[in-house]
Amino acid sequence: MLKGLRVVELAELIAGPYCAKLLGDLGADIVKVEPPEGDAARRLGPFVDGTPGEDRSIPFLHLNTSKRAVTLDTTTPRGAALLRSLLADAELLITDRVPSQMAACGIGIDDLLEAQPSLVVLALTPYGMTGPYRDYRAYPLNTFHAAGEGYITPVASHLMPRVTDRPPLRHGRFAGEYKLATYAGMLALAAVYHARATGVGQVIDLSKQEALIGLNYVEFQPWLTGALPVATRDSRAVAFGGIMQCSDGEVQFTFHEQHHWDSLVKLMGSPAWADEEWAATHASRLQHGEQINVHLKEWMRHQSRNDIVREGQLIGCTVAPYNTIDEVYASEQMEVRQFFQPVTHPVAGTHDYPTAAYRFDDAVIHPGPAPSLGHDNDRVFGEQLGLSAEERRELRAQGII
Amino acid sequence: MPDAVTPPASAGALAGVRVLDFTWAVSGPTATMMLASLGAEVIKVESPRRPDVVRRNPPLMASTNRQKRTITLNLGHPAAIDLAKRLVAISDVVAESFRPKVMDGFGLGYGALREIREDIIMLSSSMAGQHGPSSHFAGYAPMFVALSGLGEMTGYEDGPPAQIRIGADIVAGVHGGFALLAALFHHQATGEGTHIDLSAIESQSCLIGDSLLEFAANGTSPRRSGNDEPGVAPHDCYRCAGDDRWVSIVVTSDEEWARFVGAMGTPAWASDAGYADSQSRWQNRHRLAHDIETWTSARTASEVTSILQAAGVAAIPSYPADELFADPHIVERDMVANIPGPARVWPVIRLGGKLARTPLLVDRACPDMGNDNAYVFQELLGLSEDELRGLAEDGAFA
Repeated sequence: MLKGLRVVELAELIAGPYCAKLLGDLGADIVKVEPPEGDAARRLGPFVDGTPGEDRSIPFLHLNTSKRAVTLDTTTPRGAALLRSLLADAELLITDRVPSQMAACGIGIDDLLEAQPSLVVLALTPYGMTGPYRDYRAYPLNTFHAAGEGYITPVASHLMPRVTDRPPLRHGRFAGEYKLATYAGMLALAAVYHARATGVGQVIDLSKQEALIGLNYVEFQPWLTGALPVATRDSRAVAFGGIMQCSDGEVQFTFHEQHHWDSLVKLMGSPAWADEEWAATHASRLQHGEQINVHLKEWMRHQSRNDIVREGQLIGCTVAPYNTIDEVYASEQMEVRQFFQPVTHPVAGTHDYPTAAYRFDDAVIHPGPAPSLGHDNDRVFGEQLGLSAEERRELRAQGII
Repeated sequence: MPDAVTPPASAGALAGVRVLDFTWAVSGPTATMMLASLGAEVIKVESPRRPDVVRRNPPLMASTNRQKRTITLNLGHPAAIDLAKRLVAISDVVAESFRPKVMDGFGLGYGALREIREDIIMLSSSMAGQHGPSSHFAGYAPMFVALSGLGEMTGYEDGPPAQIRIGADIVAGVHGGFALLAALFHHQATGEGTHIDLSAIESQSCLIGDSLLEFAANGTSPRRSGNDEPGVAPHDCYRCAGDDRWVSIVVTSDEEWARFVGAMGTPAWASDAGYADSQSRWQNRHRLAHDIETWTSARTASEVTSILQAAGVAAIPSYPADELFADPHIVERDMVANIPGPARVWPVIRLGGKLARTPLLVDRACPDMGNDNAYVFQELLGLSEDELRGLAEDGAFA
């Protein structure tokens, strides 16, 4: 899909590299620029077979598929000059360096665009390039909580009625980073589309905090328009249903429409309590959440998860199994869609990697392996930028590449 | 570059792209709203017999379908299907989020669309994808979370999976938006169209990609672990002054730890041998959290943030909505837009990202159903008023 798109990645850890990976997995040519000691994600566990090593970090292997990689000390004048030469061939720069860091390596984004007006620069920083917090320090946990999403996670339910005893929570380990990086990739592609049509490139100032706020608009909108008070983990409680325990695992029940409730009643064999007046309307059921949960729990204690899901879905019940990670990996649906694809890495070995949520004309996505540190130095600095073997040796001796 | 081919800055990066939008509810409409915000002309199709369910929630409708045009078509009527096909012929993208096979039933499946326009791009957004044993499942956002493994990976280490209420529809929407942009890039480069088959479940699974690879590579099922990052402490939210108020703090090195301790005024507990290095702090993180809260709980989250950031320590409040949108940084970054809709002006959250040359558009809320029938059927398709009246009497728009 993205064959012919030339991208330079000057980023590390999660969001920036993931954004470039999404493009690389679809055929874009990604040159990842790492400092001589490598992307910090190379030191992030867990590791393949539990053995640390710069080519064994599971997050790194996943976040850097389908890329070429060079090492470059961009804080040296010679390194910065090489980066500029590399960018001369590129259409898109993905960077997570804040403006002061870019300036430190002698590269001003405005200067880059002046020299190369059709370049698109995606500046993916924690709080953006302007505003009082532009130089604030942040790790992924901070930017996630900065966007208001943690404050209402998890919401109260029968599983955890007094949830505010505990701190607000992130989603997954890096879910916020993955999510905003996908959004960032969309914006970058739009700007490249525009640049190819018009010759006009631009800077995209994307604050991670703002990307996540924008992607949470559904939750903020009712408060913003005065329809609901500020959402808290208590005020957004799930009155009944939600995650429920079966004899052999958990399921998720969701009730939006009357027919969702009716089909559950049918699935339960139309018990007498469901016929009572207080159970007739959604509004009334919301008032009797605890009572309903008592009945549901009693019934579900004796049901197997697979039976409830299979029979429930047949009659229109909005029920789904709460899958553990091994169950996701083994799921028949994922298998039919070939969501996992084998990727062979010379050091880490062959493993099934998760691919993507989309297929184009039913084609399976085949990521290439993540590169070893400096894997493409010779090809990129030699063949692409025309440095002789002698010059490269010298740069290596000086610790620049 | 001659100015003639440069669209005015306000036109958006996707100026000139037209999207025929059959999506409904939240996931699909969010994908097309993103394209509309980037400048595409998005024509939302509704049937008065089955209006978009989100119309029951006017503020959400206003926001989810901002920047779109709206038309009505009764897809049970052959004349309406004919009009839809004529619109396909002048569109670059068709988007839909019905259950699999529904578009085929209307005679508007990808094969039929290609016969009308060979280079059409089509997005089909569904819960589980167009094929496979779960593709017929009825699906809502909490179910995507359950099926994907994201729910399993979210929660306290010693507790049940977390009940999440936020964002799963949007996650599917943003993956749809990304895939559409990739398809538009491909079309621009090659002139070819494509059919995108998007699974909302997989879009959530993508948010835990490294956890899935961990299982595939090492055979052990990773589990939820609160806000923890192995080997790093502090790495959590800590209670502050006020009711249910919290600040996130992350310290990843001894150097940051020294700055953190100094910023707190070097409390006695910080010299505990159990906090001497990263590994010890990680092992003693529960006790450490308790000690940190003796300092944070006497201050507001924003005071803690100012003090720690001044020392170069990563901290930021875990914001409730009212504090977030009153925060000076968010106010300066201008994250709320007030946009006119049919009944009133709606405040809406802007999408993130300041595009210097093609700012994201946010100046129109979702119109009423069928607001743009005249523009679309008369101006774009060239129907006369008589033809339009005839079709209306016949029930094509009902």
